[in-house]
Amino acid sequence: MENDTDHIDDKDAQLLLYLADELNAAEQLQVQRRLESDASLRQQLEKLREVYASMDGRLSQADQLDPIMGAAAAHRCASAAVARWASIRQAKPVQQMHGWKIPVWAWSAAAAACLLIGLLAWQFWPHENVSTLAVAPRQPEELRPSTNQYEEMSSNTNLANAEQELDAVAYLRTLTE
Amino acid sequence: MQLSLTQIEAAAVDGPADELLVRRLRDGDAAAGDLLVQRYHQHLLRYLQRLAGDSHVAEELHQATWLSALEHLESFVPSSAGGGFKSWLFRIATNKAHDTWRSRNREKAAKDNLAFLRNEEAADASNFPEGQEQKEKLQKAIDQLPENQRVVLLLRYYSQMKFVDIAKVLGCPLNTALGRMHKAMEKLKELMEG
Repeated sequence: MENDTDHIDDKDAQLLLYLADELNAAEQLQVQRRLESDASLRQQLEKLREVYASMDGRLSQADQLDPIMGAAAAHRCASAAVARWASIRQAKPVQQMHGWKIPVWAWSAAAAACLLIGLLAWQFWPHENVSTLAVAPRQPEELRPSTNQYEEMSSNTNLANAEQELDAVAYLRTLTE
Repeated sequence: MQLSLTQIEAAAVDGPADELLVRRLRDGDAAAGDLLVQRYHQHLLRYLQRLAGDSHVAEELHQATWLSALEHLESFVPSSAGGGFKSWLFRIATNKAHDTWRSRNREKAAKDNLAFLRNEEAADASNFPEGQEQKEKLQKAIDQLPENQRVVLLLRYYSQMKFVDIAKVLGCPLNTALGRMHKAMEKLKELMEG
């Protein structure tokens, strides 16, 4: 919506604000001094004043000729809405009206506490059921079965266990590769 | 534009301050709310009528503005709303009008047809008294202004807000608000005299 054509130079802006009596005392004095010494600026100010007065007159004349349509109805509707709203307000207890607000810092504190509890629980939870599978990938070279290990395994009477371990090693290899 | 003490300001000076009325309304005092409605409904309605160019739409927007103001009254902070309650109220009204324009853009073709019919009606009404004719001409000229210029012009005239507050309401730099006002006045003069 805003574009370059909406801007006016500072001199015109100052004149507009001067005309609207919206400059502070120092700025007003500055404009007055410039007006005293600059005839073209005085002329420009007069032109502005004339345009504004003319438009002001036209708008106020149009408003006088044109009674506000539906003003009474609009007033009634707005007043009724206000009355309804106020009665609802009165009916609600004060605490409910203002709401029980949790401060913003409490949310971050609660989140941090949850995180801390989670970390502590993880730290102190008994990990005996956690298999070596979870740790093994960090040291893949140690897990490579040597010939001795194969021999030990074969000498082991519990072949089923050995097979399971080998499966695990193979699985780890695929993971590390 | 009118630079003297306005009706709105006079009303605000005579009665309790807007902020006090808002506080009382928040506590459930309907009379305080009614006083606020009384204080602003005419200027607000006139502003919306000129902005929308249609009194029925203006009435709807007026109602929507007050409902929205009530809905958000809890979040109204006088110190953060430049120009206080009046600026806040007119900002809501302007936003409501923008929403209506946006939805109406989809029906632009229909609106163009309506404007054509209006022009024909106006041309037929050759027996208008001069003042009436001028009034019609003025509204047509206002309708022809770009939306952003029209808003600044009408906000300034009907809310009597300071330019700095108008800039805050519209979220633009002061120079932009002044530029829009200046261009609106020049164009309006050109359209009225042309």
